[in-house]
Amino acid sequence: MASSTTSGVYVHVIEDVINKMRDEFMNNGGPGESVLNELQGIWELKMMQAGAILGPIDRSSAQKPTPGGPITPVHDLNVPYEGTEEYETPTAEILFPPTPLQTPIQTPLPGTGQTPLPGTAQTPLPGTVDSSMYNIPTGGTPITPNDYPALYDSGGVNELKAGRPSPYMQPPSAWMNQRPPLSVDVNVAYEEGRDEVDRGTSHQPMTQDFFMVPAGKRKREDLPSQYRGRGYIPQRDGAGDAMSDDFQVIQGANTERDIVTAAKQEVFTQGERMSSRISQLDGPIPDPYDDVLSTPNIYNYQGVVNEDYNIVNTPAPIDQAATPAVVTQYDAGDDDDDEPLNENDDDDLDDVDQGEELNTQHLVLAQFDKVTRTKSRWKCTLKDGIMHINNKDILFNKASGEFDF
Amino acid sequence: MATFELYRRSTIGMCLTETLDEMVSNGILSPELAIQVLVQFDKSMTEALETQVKSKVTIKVKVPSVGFDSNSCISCVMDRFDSHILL
Repeated sequence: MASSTTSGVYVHVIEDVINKMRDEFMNNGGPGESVLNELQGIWELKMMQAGAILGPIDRSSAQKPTPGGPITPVHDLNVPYEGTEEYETPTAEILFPPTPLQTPIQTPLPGTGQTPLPGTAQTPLPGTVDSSMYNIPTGGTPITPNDYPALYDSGGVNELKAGRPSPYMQPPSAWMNQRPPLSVDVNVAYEEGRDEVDRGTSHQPMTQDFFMVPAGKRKREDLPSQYRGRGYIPQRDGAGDAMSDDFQVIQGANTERDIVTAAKQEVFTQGERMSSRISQLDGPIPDPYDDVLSTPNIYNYQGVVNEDYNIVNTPAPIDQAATPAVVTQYDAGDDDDDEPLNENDDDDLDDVDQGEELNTQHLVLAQFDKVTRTKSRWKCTLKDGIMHINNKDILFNKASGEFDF
Repeated sequence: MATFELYRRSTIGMCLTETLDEMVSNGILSPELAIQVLVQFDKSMTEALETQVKSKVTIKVKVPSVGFDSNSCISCVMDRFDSHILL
């Protein structure tokens, strides 16, 4: 049971919350003042049933902070609350008033986190008190309105960017930047009559950059010499540019065979490099949260090693690109590897917390100023706390405690 | 601004949470508005405890070290604490 002072403080808190939320309820899109009054009525009724508030509530002492606001009617709390039937069948219009912001927001958002929201809000919550809807953690992390984003938060523009592709392309490789300085367009067929001196002098720095990647001590005139005076400079490009190399070969090739054959050899080597990719077979993603029995699944693709790591809790496999072996054991566990890690794999910590909440008869909720310990003696100073002890609610501004454990 | 949500576990906080749960499940209230109500409750409760409550409490408990069991020990602490409350 609550004392008169505690009850008075609770009543004050309830009214303060209702008054400050009145604007939110009354503004466009809000459920209205009737819902607000209903909220207050049910809240006070539950408080009286719990014995935290002494009834009847004296409202004459309560001061309205908004003198211009309408006087709220007093509910008869002695009458049990009866839910109005019109609210028992929620419709989509009640839950989600159509706004023009809904459709444009939904499309760019990634993942599937947004669409299930209407479904979860409409279905009735199972059980009695299921506060998991608001994700009230015991750790006290703040809940921001972003828990229900997109449909209601028109200002959440930052979240929209997550789904878009990165606007930053990879910077082109260094050799790409050096094409413009060329005085001769290497994509154009060789034209006689060009000044060989100019080409030679202009090509020299280019070929240096192309062919002198690993070492700078090599003589710079070795390789370019065979190509000087020609109209084509073969490039040693990466695997993605094999097509462009072919194009260049066709265009820039002269009737001279040595260039063509050299270029073709270069293309062929690149092609071989592309086709000789080592097939890589990755193993399943090792799950650090799996227990000992599931770790052998990591070694499904290493048939010889499998038997040695049956039970031991072993680290991740060394080589995930090993050749696949015959899968002999643990076939039933393959399904676990294919399925991504979801919340079902978590330990049942929530049940433990819920169990603790149900069994907690005595509770002190406060903010600590100082907690010290000397050997087995604990000293703590608390402030602004609520205590629920022996079915009593006690509020305090400051508390000091000494415990000998 | 982040608020201290610890007061939601008190009697008044649990009553409010239950009420909001019922209203949201019935479709009367939107979840976002319910969260705003809870945040406002955090602020109002903190402010009320700072301004309206003036009581000071002293706790002095000695717990036997032999046969230490946390669950029963806490109940034992609270029983003795009840008798030492100075308001």
